[in-house]
Amino acid sequence: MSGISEMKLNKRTDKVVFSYMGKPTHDMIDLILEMSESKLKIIESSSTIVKRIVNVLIEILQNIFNHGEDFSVVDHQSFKYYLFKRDYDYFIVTENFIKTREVKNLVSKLDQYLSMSDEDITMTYRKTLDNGGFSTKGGAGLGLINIVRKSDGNLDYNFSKVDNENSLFRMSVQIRVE
Amino acid sequence: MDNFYMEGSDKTPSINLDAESGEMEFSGKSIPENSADLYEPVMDWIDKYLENPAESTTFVVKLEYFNTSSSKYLLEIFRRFEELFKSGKQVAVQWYYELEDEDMQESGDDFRDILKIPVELIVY
Repeated sequence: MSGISEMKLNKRTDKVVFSYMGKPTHDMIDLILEMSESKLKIIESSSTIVKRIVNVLIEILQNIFNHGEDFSVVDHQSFKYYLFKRDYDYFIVTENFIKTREVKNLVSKLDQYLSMSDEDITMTYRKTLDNGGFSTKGGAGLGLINIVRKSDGNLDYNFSKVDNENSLFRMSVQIRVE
Repeated sequence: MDNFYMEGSDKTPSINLDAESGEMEFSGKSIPENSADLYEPVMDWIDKYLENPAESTTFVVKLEYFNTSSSKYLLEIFRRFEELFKSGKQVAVQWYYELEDEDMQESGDDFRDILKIPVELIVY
């Protein structure tokens, strides 16, 4: 797995498929999905890969919308999104704010899922689908597991504390093209 | 009992539930932000259908994309038919996926592993 610094966009060599910077509204998320998918269909010949990327994108963007904090009042560039291609692989990089008090729980979950084998993450996904109930924000608790599962664990993240209340969450997901 | 029909959109599936024939079809995309708004009316209809179901119930699922909160509801819908299946009625899920769509095939496997009703994976 690459470190998140290596997964940052290199504007000289990476090919940007789609990027967005601004407020994450429902309409923008719909537009990002639509534009990303239509551009992917032009540059990527494998429909398996296109669908894999879109599947992961749906989960990432809806997760951010459901769980991320919107404090665009103080920072209009509260959400950043890049989808780019490096050699054969694709990278989805997002930056959004979350409440600092939620960081520990998110780190714990991500580290747990990232440490699992393919079989274990599949079993965890099925068990959570089977028993997990519905979460208060409607995300069912499956989104993160699915992102890790569909990216084969090629995910990296970091946090930086903005103040006591808010932290910036950066996540980079690599979709490998064999 | 009236049939249930909902036209699909960019984010919601076409849903066609036929009380007389027992044919239930979900197709298109199911990626709404709020799956409860979409699926609660479906669950209500299913609960009424189960009071007087057809001899055979078949779910035809032809989804292009679905998010994880939709998968929760789909599982909940299918699960309500496990008792009916146990009682001897015919119940089946036909899970369609495109030849190259490994993710949708994997999702079909997930449902087959969890459910106690037959789930058939069909390439189209």
